[in-house]
Amino acid sequence: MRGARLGCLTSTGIIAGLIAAFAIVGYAVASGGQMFSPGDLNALDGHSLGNVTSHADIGGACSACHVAPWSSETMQDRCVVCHEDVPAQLLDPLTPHGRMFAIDSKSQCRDCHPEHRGTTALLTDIEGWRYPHQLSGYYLTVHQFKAENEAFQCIDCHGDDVTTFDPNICESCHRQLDQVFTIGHVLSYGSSCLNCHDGMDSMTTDFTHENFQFKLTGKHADVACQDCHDGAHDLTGFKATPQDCSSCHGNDDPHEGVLGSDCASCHSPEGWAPSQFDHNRSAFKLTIAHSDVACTNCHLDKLFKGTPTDCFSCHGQDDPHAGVLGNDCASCHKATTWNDLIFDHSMSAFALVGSHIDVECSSCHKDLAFKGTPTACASCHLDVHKGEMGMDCAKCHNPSVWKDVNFDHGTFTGFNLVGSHKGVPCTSCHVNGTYKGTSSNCFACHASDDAHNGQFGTNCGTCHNPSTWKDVNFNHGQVTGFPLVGSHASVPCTRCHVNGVYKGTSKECVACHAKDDAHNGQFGTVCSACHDTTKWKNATFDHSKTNFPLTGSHANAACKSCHANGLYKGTPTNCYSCHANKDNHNGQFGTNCGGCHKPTKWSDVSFDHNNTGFPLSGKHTNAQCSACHSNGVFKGTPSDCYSCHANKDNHNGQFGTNCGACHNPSGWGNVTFNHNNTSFPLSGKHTNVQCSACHANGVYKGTPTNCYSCHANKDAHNGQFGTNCGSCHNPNGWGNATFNHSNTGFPLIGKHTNVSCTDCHKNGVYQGTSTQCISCHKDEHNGKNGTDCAACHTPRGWGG
Amino acid sequence: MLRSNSELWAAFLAMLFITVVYGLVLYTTQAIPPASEVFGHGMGIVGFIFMLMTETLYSLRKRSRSVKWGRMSMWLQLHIFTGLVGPYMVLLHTSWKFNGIAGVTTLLTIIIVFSGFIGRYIYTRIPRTKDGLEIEGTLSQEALKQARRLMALWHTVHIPIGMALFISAFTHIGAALYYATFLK
Repeated sequence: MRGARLGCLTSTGIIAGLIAAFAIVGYAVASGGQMFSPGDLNALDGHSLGNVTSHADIGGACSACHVAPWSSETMQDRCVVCHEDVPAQLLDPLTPHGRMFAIDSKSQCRDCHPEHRGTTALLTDIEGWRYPHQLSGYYLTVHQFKAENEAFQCIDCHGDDVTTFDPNICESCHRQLDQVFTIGHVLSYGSSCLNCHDGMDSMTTDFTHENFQFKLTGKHADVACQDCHDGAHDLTGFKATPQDCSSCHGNDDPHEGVLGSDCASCHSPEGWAPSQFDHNRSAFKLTIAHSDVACTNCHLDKLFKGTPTDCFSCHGQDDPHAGVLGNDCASCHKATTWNDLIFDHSMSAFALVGSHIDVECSSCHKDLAFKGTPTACASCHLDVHKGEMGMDCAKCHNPSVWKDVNFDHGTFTGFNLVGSHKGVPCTSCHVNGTYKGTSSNCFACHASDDAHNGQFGTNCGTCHNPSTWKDVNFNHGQVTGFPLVGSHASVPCTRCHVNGVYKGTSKECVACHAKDDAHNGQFGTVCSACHDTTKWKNATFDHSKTNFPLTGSHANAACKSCHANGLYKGTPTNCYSCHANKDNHNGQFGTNCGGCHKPTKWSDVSFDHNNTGFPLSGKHTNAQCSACHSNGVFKGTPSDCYSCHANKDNHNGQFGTNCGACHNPSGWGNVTFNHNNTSFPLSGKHTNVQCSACHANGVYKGTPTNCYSCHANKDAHNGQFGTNCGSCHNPNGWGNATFNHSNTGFPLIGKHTNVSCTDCHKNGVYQGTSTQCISCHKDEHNGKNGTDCAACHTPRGWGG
Repeated sequence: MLRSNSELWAAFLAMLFITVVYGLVLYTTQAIPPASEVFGHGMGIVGFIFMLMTETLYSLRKRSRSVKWGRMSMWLQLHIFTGLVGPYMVLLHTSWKFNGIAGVTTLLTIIIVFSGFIGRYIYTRIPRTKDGLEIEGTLSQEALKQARRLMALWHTVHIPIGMALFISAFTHIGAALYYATFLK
């Protein structure tokens, strides 16, 4: 029996395994570990170190470089056995090994110097980013790739020895990139590239002058570098280039140094012209007309400095004042035109206002002589008042217009001109041109206008004012003790003051209104007891003070509807005295209308029917009076139902005349007929049956009470059970039959109790149904056992 | 009977997937993945584990008397899957250098895969239940005897190659650990 061991452990398997093991051990011993090498060692001859010139010379002696994992030695310890100068370099940051060690002291030789990559493979393989090249002073920032995916190798720039560098290698590579530029650049700046370039980099195609203080703008952008950086061959030389304009442009100055060396104060790099010279920054600002003048008009012979700034230096020969007004033209003239003056006349003793402003200077200053011109009006203006108003024209006249006279009659004369006096020509009062001594009394002028014939004296101004004669300010109340109020205020004076007589007019009403008395003296002569002065109709007669206060409709009734023919005294207070002709009751209720009617209106009746022998309830309360009291007859109206409702009796008198026995006044439909009081009380379905179902044609009396009289046509039994339906059925429904089959000659027992009636009583025939089994049941025995099924079977089931 | 080829499809898809990943690594690093770095080394390790599974699991299940996990056909399918995918990963691990013991191991690996194909072909000639028990099939007694003889012969060849392969592989692994992995 085989155990559960691996299937490979067969004898041939084990033998094959052993042979393989021996073969491997044998070969390993023979080849010295060559069989474990992942690739050939470098075979390029170099310096002789440790008696070999290449790693390949070491051959299969793996342990010359490799150490056992359990050994305390490291592979690096084996490297420096031959490369014995390296440990010292690691400590010197100026050597490549030292730089590498400075940034990563844990780095191993094999990190940069891989082996087993073939006989000719490079022994140094380090990515550019890993070696801290910048520590040498040169960055590899822009020397990462020669082409896409083709990284720079140390050998590309350094050749065999990374510790040396030949700058010519820069030129030979960069000529391939841009030959024209490179040759020119080397010619301009020499071939010591590293003097300026640090590799990170400032001076490549990405170079921009923007990063420096001196930005290249305008025309500077197009200038060749060496035009300014002339003779610079290293960064220091570039940085030392002066930045002031004149260093480069000194011999371009057309101003011959007169304007100083700061060209930029006027010029910009955009070009010499247009010059940005701002004349306003000089002591002489160019304004308006001066700004359009050619520079040479003032700066003769291109001389700028020391040009005089006073007006006369240029404009001396233009002076029309012949020097009388001094040299300072600008104190009067603006820089726009000569005529645009800023001379302020108000600064003289004579300020120009009104029309004086627009007057030609020469109108007052004859011969352009300005000084000493007199300021008195009369020295220029002619007096038309011949001296009557004095010499001070300005008292009345103003400088705007002569005719705009400001003569104040009130201030001058003590007689204010108001109202109509304002528009009157001066000569109406001042006849013959005489102004002085004119009287200020009204009558002096208006005596001929007195319409009152002197009744009111000579002081017209007491009542009249100067506006118009008709605008009278006569206060009738104050002056006469009879204030004019109400209609009196608007009455023409002459209505009371006839013939122009005002004095002694009576104040009594009747003195004027005697002819207006509509009452023929019935109320005396003191009209004001009831009337006021607003309107005759506004009488304030208080009827309540008579023995007939006015209430309800009476308050709005016209006086004359009761007081006919203007008679007020002795008018009777009895209703009938006025309303007799309106009595709709023809005297049936007497003459005291107020017993029922109120004064508000006739229809507002307070008649209480309940006080009669027939109180109103239900529908009677809303019935028209005339429905019962036809032809206006109220007295003796009968109170029995039939007297009014006889023609509405749907029962044709079958229930007598006392409708109230069943009906009530709330409505005909609210009947309280109790069928149970008849000989046929209603129960079951009878209670919901329409009356007419049993009482056909409205006949109620004599209706038979036996079932058949109504239900004969519904007898499903065709009279087989007689006419007394009630012996089996009850009024709750035909279905609720209580037929007891046990009372027949065939009591139902066993399965018979659940059989449908029609199974035995076919075609609705109940009477005469045979009680023999065989009459209903089929004989399965074909008569072999006779016809008496019950001899063997019972109704409990055939099987029983 | 091995009617379904699902394990071959699964192996094919797995190899396709690995090829795509290998292609991506190749494209991004622009270099053949070296045997000593993460991807190449990982392929070698996983591939060898697969090969070890191929060698042991099916064999143990086949000979196990006490524990009967899964059907024999399932284990054979796993044997074939790992026996194809493992060597393929090992092949990619080589970084296409075949010198020394590593090259010998690769060669033996390729040989045993082809041997495995032949074994499977012979195996499927003999009618079996799903549990791998030989049953009486349509084959004549003579043909069956012939097939069994062929199968025995194949075992005699296949197993020693496998043994040699694993001795060689373990030596390679040991040398790699000594000279590279635990290098200080």
